[in-house]
Amino acid sequence: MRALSLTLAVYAVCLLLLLPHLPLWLDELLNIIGSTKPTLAGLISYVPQNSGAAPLGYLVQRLSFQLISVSEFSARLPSVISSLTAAAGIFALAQRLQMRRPLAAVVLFCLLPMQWRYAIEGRPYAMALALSIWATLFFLQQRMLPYALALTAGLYTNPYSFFIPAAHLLWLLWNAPRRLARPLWAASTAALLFLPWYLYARHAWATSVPSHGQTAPLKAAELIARELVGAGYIGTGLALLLAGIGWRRCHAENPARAAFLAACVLVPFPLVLAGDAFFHYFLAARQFLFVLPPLCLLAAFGLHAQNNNPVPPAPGPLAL
Amino acid sequence: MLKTTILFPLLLALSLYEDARLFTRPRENWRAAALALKRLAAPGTCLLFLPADSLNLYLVFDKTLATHVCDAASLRHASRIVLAASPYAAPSKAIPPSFQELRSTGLRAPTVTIYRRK
Repeated sequence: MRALSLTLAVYAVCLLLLLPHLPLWLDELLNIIGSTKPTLAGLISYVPQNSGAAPLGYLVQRLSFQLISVSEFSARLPSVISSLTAAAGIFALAQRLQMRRPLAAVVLFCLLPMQWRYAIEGRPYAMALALSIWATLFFLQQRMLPYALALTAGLYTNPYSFFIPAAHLLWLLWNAPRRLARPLWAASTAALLFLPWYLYARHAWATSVPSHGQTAPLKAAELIARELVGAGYIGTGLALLLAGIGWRRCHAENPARAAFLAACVLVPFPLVLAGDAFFHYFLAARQFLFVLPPLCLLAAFGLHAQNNNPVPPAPGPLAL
Repeated sequence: MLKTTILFPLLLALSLYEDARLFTRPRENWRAAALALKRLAAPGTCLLFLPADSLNLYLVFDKTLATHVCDAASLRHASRIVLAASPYAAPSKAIPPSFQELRSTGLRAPTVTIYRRK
């Protein structure tokens, strides 16, 4: 725990020192324009003008502006806090999954360029990522009220974060269908709570970006290979290789755990592509942000010594 | 185990390198462009924004820029036009032909160009 505190403290200092040094770019400014609308009604009517946008990230940024002032620092502070919360969530998840070196997963998560970029950007992606990580933890702990709340907040931050509970449910359907009812209820409740926003925003979403049609499969594959972790083809290759090795070691110890992490990595891919096709939105690497946590966890499992003897599952309602 | 003890630090090192590069590669600087516009805004000068709604991006840094925006009257009388072009905008045909370009500064993506009446 002391090592985690020290890691998070160093990470926090780095983020806080560096974040005022990057000039704001277009998308951050568009976010700030929304967050600084004179009235809440103005903010709510502005948000859907950005395709796929939801209001929670804007509201949190508005709060940051009200508490501090409008600046690069306060615009990005919610992302820094979210990234730190996410890193703590990765540690908790790694412990829950009985990882022997949980800190390795945390360090990798903090340093992955795709995560790092959004940790110091005045947009809500880091917040959505943190919510998806904590939702995964609540799911494994079978704490359905916090799970439903995290999913709802995730939807109201970035709707694509809902592809992670889709992975949870699919895994459960495959592994323990009798336990499906409560998580399904929680996810359905979150989806229902998001419905009013969807109905309100969908027309504006549809007109806010020119129709891009479907991204060609080859182009999509190329983009994912280049930008998945934000470190080019070599970075993606290394991350996938490590995750593959980690999956094998994890599978040797506990097949259900390996299947769970694999589902969280793989399920969002087709859902992102389907979502983009449905909304005529262009494919962007940030839409795959939510696969980074399970990818880091799998990669860190690769550091386990080869062990072909199954280990006893962690105690708890979902024994992994 | 040997493979991962090499590959894992390699991925960390590559990530660290890319993280540092975020701060060194060229990046849009709207604050610099807004400051340049503020310096250029003077009597006889009007500011033209391309596209027109990109004015909102500069107003995040300086609300007073809105008072210098070109309208039909100021375009007739201005001795100088400053064009602020977003990197996401199409090329400009907004400057009347009676003006000639003096100089242009790419402030890391947004561009500020100064025109003087011929």
